[in-house]
Amino acid sequence: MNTNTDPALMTYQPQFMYVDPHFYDVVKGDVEAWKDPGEMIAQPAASIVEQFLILENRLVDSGRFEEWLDLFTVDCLYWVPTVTADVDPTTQLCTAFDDRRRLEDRIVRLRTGTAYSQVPPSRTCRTISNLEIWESETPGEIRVRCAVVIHEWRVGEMRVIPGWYGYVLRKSSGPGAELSKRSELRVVRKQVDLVQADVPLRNMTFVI
Amino acid sequence: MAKAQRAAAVSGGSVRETAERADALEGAHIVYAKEWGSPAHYGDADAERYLDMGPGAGLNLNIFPNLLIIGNHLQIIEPLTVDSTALSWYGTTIEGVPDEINTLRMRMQEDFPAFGEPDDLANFEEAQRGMVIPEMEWIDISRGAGTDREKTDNQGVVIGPVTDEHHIRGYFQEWTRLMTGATTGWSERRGSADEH
Repeated sequence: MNTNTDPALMTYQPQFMYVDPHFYDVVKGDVEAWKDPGEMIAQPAASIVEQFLILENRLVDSGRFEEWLDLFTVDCLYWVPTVTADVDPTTQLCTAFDDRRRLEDRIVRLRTGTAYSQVPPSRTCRTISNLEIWESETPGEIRVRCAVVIHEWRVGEMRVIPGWYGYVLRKSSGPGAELSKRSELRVVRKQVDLVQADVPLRNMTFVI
Repeated sequence: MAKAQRAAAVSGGSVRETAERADALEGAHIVYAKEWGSPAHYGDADAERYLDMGPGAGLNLNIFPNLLIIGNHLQIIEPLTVDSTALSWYGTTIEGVPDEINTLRMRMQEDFPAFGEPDDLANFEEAQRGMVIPEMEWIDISRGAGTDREKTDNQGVVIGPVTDEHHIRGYFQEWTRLMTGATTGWSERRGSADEH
């Protein structure tokens, strides 16, 4: 029986109601936006964005998932399509199409100790490069497209998983404000397009 | 209700019950609304019916030898070699419903492949690793065997607790029956050449 009656705990509601038809339109807009990056943003902002992505990837590689999720907004998306062209999440199954709630579930599950596909956990090292950083059409948001190579070691096997990331980042300082440090950034949407998205990927239960 | 029908008949009318709002309003002079009202307060029957098509069917049906119907998924098991098996999942959509319902089904159908199936696969791989050890040639599937938990119901269906392994034994019993039964050769199937 659940005897926890602490009102502070009971009032917590993840804000998951944002995955509606409009949200899917936004995501489809991303798919188009990644094809033709706009005018690159200049230093030092570009360097701060790159440092933020390095932090984001390092936290995952270190298994620090709670701190990692703190880098995401409450209306975030973590998306791994299963196709490499004509991507459309409204009609296609995805390896992941996680809103905030499911992303929290994913981490809770990994922490249960009974997620056998991560016992022992994958050890990963991801390298990002080829960064293109430009202002989003939405004020206060930045788009990044970059290449990624993930090396994964688990139970005697090394896997190499290449692809690219598309990030929509939001400045907590708001539109127009000068970016001064990486802690001012949050991930609104992270799209993971794997080179082998459409072949059986086996155990992909680590955070990509 | 019978009393109301008698009273209506006396004055040349009729009374009937229906659960459909549109049907109730059709040609009615008086509507006595019980347990339903405006969609704002009591929901929309169509919306609820459609939403019921979103989540998984709560079903796990294994059809011998290799077809599984799990929630909204079809799963096909194809043994390829002695040490490899392909397990294919097929998502499903429904025709004639709003697009949003099929999108909802996509999201629902990502649940188990992301949160459950990988653990199953990890266990299959662990079992396979164990099976290649010469001294460990057997997997024990005897749980529940020889207990009074396994019963045959009045339709001849063997039933038992979901945690027992009699359904797995059933698979191998059927496999054994087929593999040890008499085979029918080509000529027996086609009849002798003289008949043609």
